[in-house]
Amino acid sequence: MSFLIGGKEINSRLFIGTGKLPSYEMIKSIIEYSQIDVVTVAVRRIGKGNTWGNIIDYIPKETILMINTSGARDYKEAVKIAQIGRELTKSDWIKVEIEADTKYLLPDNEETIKASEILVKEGFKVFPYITPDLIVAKKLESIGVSAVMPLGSPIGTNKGIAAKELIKPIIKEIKVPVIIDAGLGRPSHAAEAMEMGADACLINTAIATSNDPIKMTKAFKMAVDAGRSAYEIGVLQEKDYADASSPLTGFLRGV
Amino acid sequence: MALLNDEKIDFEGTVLELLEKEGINKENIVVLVNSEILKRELWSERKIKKEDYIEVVSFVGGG
Repeated sequence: MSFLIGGKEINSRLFIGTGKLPSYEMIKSIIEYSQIDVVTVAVRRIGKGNTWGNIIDYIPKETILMINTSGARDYKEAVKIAQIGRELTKSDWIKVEIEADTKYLLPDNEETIKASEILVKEGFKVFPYITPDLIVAKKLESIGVSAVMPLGSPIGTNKGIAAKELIKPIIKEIKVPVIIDAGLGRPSHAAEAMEMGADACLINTAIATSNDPIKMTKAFKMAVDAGRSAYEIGVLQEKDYADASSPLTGFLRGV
Repeated sequence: MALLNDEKIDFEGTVLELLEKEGINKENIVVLVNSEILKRELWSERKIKKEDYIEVVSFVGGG
């Protein structure tokens, strides 16, 4: 079922990061096989002779490009990267990602708020990547961001939703979409995020570094869809005692 | 001496001429001169000055 985000109606609640993939050629297959609507790309200086090839050439035209500002160490750099991204693609979807620390790659929420404020004013659709913090999420929401993207656990760690108890209140209180970004290592992590009520998941490492990124994308897609369906139906509460599935009457006479 | 992506260059001419000399594929790139975006239509007008800091950027895979 389609949903509205960043002013666009899309179907896939699984967003894909394109870093660390074994080849750019497989991006098209990943997108087509799992019907992905949104992918992220990064901005970098090019090498001599532009030998890296250009990732944009491998992404279908109808796919929404979310430009990430990774590499930015403060809000000024993030704003600059966003402007470069828009100049190149005309896409105004920006994932604000600001990290000063390279060991844990934890986002700088303070700089992220500053960058988001400027970028919203400049007409961008802003998707801030944050350390899960309800107050920060509320500030971002009031600024006018298109979604908030709390991390499940640090980038590339495959630890799942370690920050669960901090993400729950964000999902509950924030009205713009909540996208769980970073740290989801297995499809079951993504399913859990969706069962909790997240609106979407962004996966990169767990897909790109798997033995088969095309099939792993599908596995995550199914998990995201399953989790979303369960959330929409209503996930049942845990109980402390057993509750028989079969009737507790009409037993055979004991032997 | 001017710099291109941190490399010293001894070059006289426009930004466009520099890109051509360096063999840089001009599609899907953005040129920054002293950290400001130089619009594509100005590449052939903007002459490179001695202290210029030129950056050429494009997209790569990223999460």
